[in-house]
Amino acid sequence: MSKFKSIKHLPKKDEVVEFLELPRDTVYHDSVVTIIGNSRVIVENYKGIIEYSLDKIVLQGKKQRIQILGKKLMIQYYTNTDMKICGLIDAIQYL
Amino acid sequence: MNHWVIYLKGYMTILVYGVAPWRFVTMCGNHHIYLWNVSQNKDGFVMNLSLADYKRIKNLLKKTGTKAVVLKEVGLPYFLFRMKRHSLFFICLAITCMLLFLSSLFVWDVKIYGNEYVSDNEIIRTLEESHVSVPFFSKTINYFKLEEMIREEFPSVSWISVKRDGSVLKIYLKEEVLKNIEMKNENETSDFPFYNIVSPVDGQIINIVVRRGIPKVKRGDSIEKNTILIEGNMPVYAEDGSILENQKMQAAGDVYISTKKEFHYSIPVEYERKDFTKRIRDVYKIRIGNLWIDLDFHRNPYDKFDEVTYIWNPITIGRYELPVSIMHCQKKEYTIMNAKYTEKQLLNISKNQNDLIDKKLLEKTIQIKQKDVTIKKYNKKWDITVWLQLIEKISE
Repeated sequence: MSKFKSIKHLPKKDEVVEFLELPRDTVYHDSVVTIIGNSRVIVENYKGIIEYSLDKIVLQGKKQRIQILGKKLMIQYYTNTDMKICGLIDAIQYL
Repeated sequence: MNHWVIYLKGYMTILVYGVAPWRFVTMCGNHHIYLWNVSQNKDGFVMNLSLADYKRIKNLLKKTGTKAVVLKEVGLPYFLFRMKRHSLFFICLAITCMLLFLSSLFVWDVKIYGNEYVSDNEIIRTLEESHVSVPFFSKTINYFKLEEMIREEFPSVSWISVKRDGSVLKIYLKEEVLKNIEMKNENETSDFPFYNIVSPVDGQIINIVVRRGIPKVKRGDSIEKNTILIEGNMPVYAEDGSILENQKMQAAGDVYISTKKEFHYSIPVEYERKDFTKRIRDVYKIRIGNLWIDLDFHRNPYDKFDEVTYIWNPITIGRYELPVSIMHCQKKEYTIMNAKYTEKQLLNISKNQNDLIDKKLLEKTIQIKQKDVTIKKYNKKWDITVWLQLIEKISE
């Protein structure tokens, strides 16, 4: 006999994540954006670059797009897991 | 990634231009191609990537409809490629480094410190007899056994330390006072004189202080050489006055003896003076191990010359001295002229000679009580006699 009486009693994904204290970025594929001062941004969990200019970088995250606005923006390194953006950062927006 | 690793592997700066260069960057990420310093200019995207990754981007360029132009090539593979025509230089450099390394595994020289009575040559000869002759492979030598062997061979050595310092074997040693050893050996055959203090000179006793033993002389006594001053043979008397036994002990004390000494020497008035002709020849020699290569292929044109030699060891890396040295000989020609000393010069020479005698005596802790100098001037030479009244301290 099943441990749960009906499908209604199955715990939701949110509840399991909360209960087990699992990191949300690995479970939900949320993008992790780390800002160091106003000159460095480290982005993890993204799919790719949508737009790149010296003033604007748009990245495609797993759920939403991330727009980084600033001046003299440069990608210091780029791998399939994370990237580091340098420059004078004005704003970070989720589109 | 470490900058050095990137440099060793080689990397390049490329310009990517076309329809969607950012798509190319995204695809590089998806294909695990590491990009760094990605920036944009008016032509397209400029980025760095490693040499190995550059070979993998051709398909990606085709897929994204972009083109790549190499702007700069940096790293060891490119440096070696550029230096291909200088390959002989690098081969020689590698061989030199290898030879230096191999040479540093050997000991090329032996230096001995602290020996006074045992000469360097004696010790080196002993080492050679034990098959330790330079150059030798440093790992094959048991330094502890070497120390033991030298100590056994030379009884005067009281302390020894053998260690390797770079490419030099350094032997530090201390010796016992040889005088004592000689005295013991000499006196082994006689009755008990080893225990006595014996006068080494003729003279008169000025003072005597006995710490152990029986004094055999007193103040004011005139003594001859080999007279027993303090006897180390102490009789033990029985109650009836007869000698029960003789206790042997090392006599100890200080005896001050007044002695007279006379020194004669003569200085010739005429002498041969070297007149340098200002003609100088520089000759070079190279030493490799025990082999001297003379670089002077001409016959020496000078009959009489003084030679000053400077030895320079060009390959000294820290404590490693390799057996390669350059010798610079300076040959200065001179002619001999007959000359005469002036009276002032002769007086100076005699004064220097007398000072030398005084210095030698003071080194032996002998006091000079009185000094008389007589100079007899002849046409061809000066005869000088020095009378000295000395106080010698004999102690044990």
